[in-house]
Amino acid sequence: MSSSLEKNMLILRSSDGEEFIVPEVVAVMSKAIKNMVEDECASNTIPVPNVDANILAMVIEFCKKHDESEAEAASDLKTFDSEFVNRGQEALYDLITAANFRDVKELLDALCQNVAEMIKGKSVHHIRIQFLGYQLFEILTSNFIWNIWCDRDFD
Amino acid sequence: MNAGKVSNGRVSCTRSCSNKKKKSSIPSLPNEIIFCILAWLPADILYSSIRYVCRQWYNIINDPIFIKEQLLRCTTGLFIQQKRTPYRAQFVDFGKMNVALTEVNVPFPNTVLATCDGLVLFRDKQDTLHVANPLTKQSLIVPPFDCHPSYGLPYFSLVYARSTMECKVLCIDKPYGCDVYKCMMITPGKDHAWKLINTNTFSDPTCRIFHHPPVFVEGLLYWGSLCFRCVVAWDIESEMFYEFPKPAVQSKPCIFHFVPMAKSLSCLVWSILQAVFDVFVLSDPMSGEWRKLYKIELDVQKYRLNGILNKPVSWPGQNYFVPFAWADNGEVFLCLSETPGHYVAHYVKTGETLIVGSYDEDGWPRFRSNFAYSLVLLPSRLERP
Repeated sequence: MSSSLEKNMLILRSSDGEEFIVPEVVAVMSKAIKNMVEDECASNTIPVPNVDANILAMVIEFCKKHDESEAEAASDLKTFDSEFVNRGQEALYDLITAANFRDVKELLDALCQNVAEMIKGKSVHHIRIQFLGYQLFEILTSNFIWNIWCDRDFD
Repeated sequence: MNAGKVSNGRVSCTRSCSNKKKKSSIPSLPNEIIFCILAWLPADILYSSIRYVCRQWYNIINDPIFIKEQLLRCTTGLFIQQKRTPYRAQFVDFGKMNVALTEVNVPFPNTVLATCDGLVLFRDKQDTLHVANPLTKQSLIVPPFDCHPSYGLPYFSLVYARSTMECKVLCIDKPYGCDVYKCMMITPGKDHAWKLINTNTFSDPTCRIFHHPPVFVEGLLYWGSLCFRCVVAWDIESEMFYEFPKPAVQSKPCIFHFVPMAKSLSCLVWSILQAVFDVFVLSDPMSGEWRKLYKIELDVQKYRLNGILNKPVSWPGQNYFVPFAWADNGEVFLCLSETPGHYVAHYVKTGETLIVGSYDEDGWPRFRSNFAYSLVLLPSRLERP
């Protein structure tokens, strides 16, 4: 199978076994994959554990766009980025985890900036409910400890 | 659920919801990602609300590494202050094409002498110098400086060295009856006395270039002046001076202005006879290489009609505009039209010129660039030797 591939193509295998054929220049936008390729410890198929096919497809889409549009206007890329990161909270966190794990800096920055924009202008209560998964009744009953730290087991 | 239970001598909020934890919550993300997300938020929001969200976030925001990272991403705006009591201060943010003006809620006892990375330097009623962070309300007394004020001297500059996380105060003074300008500095919270900086390497032994205050860009202080061929730079890390030439222009009557633009120094050359600004950018501070960026032509006749300029011409080719800042990565050029008058914003790409404000009603304010709220910490007290 690998003989039919062009030399500068790589296969990425997601955690649920789906395979993606990606040009090497796109794949190495991930520092983790770049290191594997440079150390020549990678065969043509690179396993990408912890990232499922859905998310991997999105990451590849982002990297492809960024690779192609290097010469294009920066403003085009900006609109693409802002549309790309405009997703539901859950998909956003999965993407962030993937970007962090695979070390794709541009994607991580774009995503983090987007979450920061979502946080901006919200009250502490609102942030606790929307981003920390607090329930409304917890907020109401804990209102009197406003300035005392809310300890919470995060793991 | 028993919120506010006292356990181990501290009040804690125990929760019974750990079993119904939702997947889509930030806590499932590791610390380093929350770090990246929070670093994009402006310091005033972080300080006033975000850090109260939970203990994890509080710890991240208080981390010196986070403070440094946040500093790299914040956009600087202008710091405007009234010249007399109550010394009201405002912060003008030009970040996203729209001008946002916010009040700095600190009762300053006097005018602010210098600002840098969210810190301000001011003198109180007893003439004691203070360095303070107006956001965290933390302040530090600067050891007294013995001088005899005259002709706008001595003046002070405040710089913040990001790598060592120290602020330094620089003072330029010309002692009475002496021709030589002296440069003194102190690191508040570390030094106990002012020390003299060696200026022997200067081509001009009297250091007259120090007469006008410097501009601070990315770890370097720059002095530039009309009468000197050189620009003098001071590296705040190494505390050393060096010189390099000004941008080369044909010999015609012109005035030089040095203004910080994003992360480099820009030099605006105003040609007196043509009402044109030539904009140069210092591409490499070490070699002193200038690159020509724009030519800004200003239509003086039009501005007379739409009220940007309103005083009669005193002499032909008068310097109507005093540039003081760049916004939006060098796309918007801000200047001051004839004093007292207006702050004017000129969009370089579209050629539009707008009045962003006029401050002539309640005393002409002092404006300074290089301000942004930050979480920068000051050393808590002077360590005794």
